[in-house]
Amino acid sequence: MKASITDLRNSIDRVRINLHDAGLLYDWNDCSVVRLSNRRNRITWATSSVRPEVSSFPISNVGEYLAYLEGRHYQFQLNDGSLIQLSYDIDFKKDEIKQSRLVWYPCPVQFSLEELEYAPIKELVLSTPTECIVCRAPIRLDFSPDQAAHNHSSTHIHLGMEEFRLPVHRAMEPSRFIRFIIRTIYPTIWDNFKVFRTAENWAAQDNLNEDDRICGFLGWHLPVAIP
Amino acid sequence: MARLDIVFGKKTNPVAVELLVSVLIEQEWNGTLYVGYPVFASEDNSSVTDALLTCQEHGVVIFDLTTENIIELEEGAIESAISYRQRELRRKLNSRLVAYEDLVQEDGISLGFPINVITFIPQPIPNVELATLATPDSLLDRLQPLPPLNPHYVKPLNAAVQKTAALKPKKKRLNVRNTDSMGAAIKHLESQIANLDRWQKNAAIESPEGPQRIRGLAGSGKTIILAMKAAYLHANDPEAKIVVTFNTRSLYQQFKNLIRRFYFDQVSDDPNWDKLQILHAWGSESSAGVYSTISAQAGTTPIPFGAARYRFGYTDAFKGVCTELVSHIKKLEFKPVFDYVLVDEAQDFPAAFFQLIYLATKAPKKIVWAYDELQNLGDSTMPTLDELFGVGDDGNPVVEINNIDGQPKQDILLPVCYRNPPWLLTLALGLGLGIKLGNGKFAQMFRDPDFWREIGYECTHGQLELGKHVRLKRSADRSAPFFGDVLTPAQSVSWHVFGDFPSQAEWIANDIQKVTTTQELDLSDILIVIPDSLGASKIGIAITAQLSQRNINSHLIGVTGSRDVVFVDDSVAMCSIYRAKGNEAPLVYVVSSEFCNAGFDLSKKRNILFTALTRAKAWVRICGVGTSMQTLASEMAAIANDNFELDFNYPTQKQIEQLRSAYKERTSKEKRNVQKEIKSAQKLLQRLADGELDLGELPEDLADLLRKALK
Repeated sequence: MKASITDLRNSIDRVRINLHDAGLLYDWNDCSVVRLSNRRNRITWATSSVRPEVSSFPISNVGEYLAYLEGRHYQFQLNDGSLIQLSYDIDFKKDEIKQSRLVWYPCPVQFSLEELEYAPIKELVLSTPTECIVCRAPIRLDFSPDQAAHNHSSTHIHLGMEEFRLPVHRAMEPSRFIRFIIRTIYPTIWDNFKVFRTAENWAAQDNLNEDDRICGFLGWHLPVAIP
Repeated sequence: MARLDIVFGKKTNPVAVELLVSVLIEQEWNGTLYVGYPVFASEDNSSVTDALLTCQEHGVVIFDLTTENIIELEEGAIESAISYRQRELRRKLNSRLVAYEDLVQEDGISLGFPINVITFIPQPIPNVELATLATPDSLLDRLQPLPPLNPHYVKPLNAAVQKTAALKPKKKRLNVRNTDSMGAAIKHLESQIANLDRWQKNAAIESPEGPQRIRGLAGSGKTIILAMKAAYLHANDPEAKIVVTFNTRSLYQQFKNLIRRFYFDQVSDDPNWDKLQILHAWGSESSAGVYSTISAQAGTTPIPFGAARYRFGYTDAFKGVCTELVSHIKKLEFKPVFDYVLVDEAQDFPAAFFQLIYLATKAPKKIVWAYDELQNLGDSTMPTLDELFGVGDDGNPVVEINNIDGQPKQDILLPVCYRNPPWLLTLALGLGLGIKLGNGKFAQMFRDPDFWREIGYECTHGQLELGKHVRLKRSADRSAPFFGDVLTPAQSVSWHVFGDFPSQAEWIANDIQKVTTTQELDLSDILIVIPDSLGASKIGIAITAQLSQRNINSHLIGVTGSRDVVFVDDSVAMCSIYRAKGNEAPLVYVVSSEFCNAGFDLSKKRNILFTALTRAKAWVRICGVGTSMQTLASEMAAIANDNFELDFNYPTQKQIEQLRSAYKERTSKEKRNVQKEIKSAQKLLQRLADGELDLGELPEDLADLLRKALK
């Protein structure tokens, strides 16, 4: 997938504006660029705290949500408390995306915005009776060809656990991922705001291997704009 | 000439105090008699002055009333014991006063006036004759020869005695160079609030043997007084369990800072935070609150908000948990835990909370509550004491408050509003009540016309009666006099109507850039208030974007910043109306004010507007978009045209009742029903307009109604 740092920044910024216009945005962090080794830059969310290792939470739990919330590990926080993380590693010489991690992390409690005037989300989470905690799996789309191995496709979706990897057809641009999230999780917003229908096309390759094709995968040969 | 002002703190010797007061109370002197005040730090503990007189006529006089042990001494030893005590008292007060530059002479060592000490005894002691010893009969003769106090010492002397240094503006504003700038104006305003007024003094120091109510508008000093009171009580009685509580979480830090400074000023030490506790009313996962503390004490697990909201709904959650705990405690042999409970923002709490405090406070129930009478315009009547604390088995209120002459007051009204310029307060009230809505419409109105006098308005034309034309003006003695020194209404209050939201956001960002670069205001002098709490994050984010284009930082309180911290250096604070409560800033922008002029719940929305405007200490910029804002602007223009007086026809009793039912907060079911009705009416009218339906096809009476409405 080809994109420059500027492309990514602009794309993420457009996502922010669209979420805001749809009245879905509660809070956000700016993008920051971190220099990695191997001529790579990572475009990620800016926060002063250290990003928890994904391996610290082999199975998603409330603690993971709180770690992200407290550490401000997100690009966008939506009105329902869910968090969106977008992180891309780019080879800055070739303007090529080498790795990406795109997450929608749902909030384990439900609330109305007025209730946040009484207590912040963290307190709601910690004090909600166990039977009222909602169980929804976070969705994480990973693209990491460097780590591809047997039963570990280069592009896959995690649903709530590290070991669950559903191979997917291609990596996603920020707006394509958001389109997927809005359409599947926020259908009313999808119906009412057409801005989410358009996505970039950064020429992602078909990343499936033979095993994936035999054992099943998630495919999306999708057009750039959806009517 | 005024009567001497008497402030009752802790009485060390009540009989002697009564005798002393009976002699001095009739004197027409300009000054104050402090009983049980000030407190001094001494080597290992704190001690109080029995009584201190500061008056223009006779200067500074300490009264030593602690004479029991002296009278029992042998003859000959008495004089020296009296002299020693007097010397100590003089030394302690002297050591406090010489620290003040304005009180010392040119040499920088000695005070500009003497400190006199009189030992006051009920009866003469045989064979003891001292010029500094007085009985009730000889007291005035002893005071007569004492020289008057140079008037220029009066203000700094009172500040030194009251130890109001903590009231001094926190910001030094060293960047202010230009005498015409907004920075210079606010610097002047802030410098004026260094002394307590007489009502504040009473409220802060007087401590009755029982409950006490402090009433006053926003900005009359309630929070400062409660902080001062807490510090004073703690200094006097270090072992007493004192609790200060409040509703708005951001008040925590404010209380902590104020109390620490006041306490340190008195006794040069840090408070013992185990004894003097600052607790949010409810508490949270990470910090204890009044409710959670009492609940633990009663052996039950406190219910946190996150759980209570499922059981009681979030608006009634606190009422629900308090009611449950009260009925639980009543079944127990519950031992009260607190000696004093000081409640700020009392108007925000359900009665069940007061009943809970009542049960948890030791006799004689020293509960002090500060109440803002105007927090809620529509419901201006304060709950009665029996509504608040409940009634006993005999049907009488369990709590009664009375003001008795010569005793600490139990019901104190703070009459002067120091926060808002008078015209700003008047405009806020006029909008809040909707007096210029026109066509005899109002958003709400006080049921009792006399309430206007209570809150500091006088009638200049017409009659202040139901159904009569009236013109009301803020009484001069109910506003701080210093606003007029540096501000005019036109500079202080302005409104701005925009065609769309982006142009509003752009204007606000430009204006902030202008005032912070050319007017010597800091970013932390600015508060942006968003009346539409549900849209607050969306609006806040849009303004943040505009500000950051100009390299100006901002934070949305409780969202992009901690919810307990309001002002941050070098950042503009923004907040929804809920978080704005209890906070103030020199310059306030009210964004998208049109929210307060449309849709359901007009009275609630006008309350919001009132609260938003009264956050401003000097300037308010009321911004909004579209035609709703346009009509709101014309209301403001009408009030400004009346010279910031309120000119209107007072509604009749019947009209007031109608207002209440028309604008009362609707339940969501009612709202849905009305919305449904609007939708079906819309459909019907559309059909008529499109010619799909003819008026003749409608039932006769409906057709008539429509014809009339269309005219």
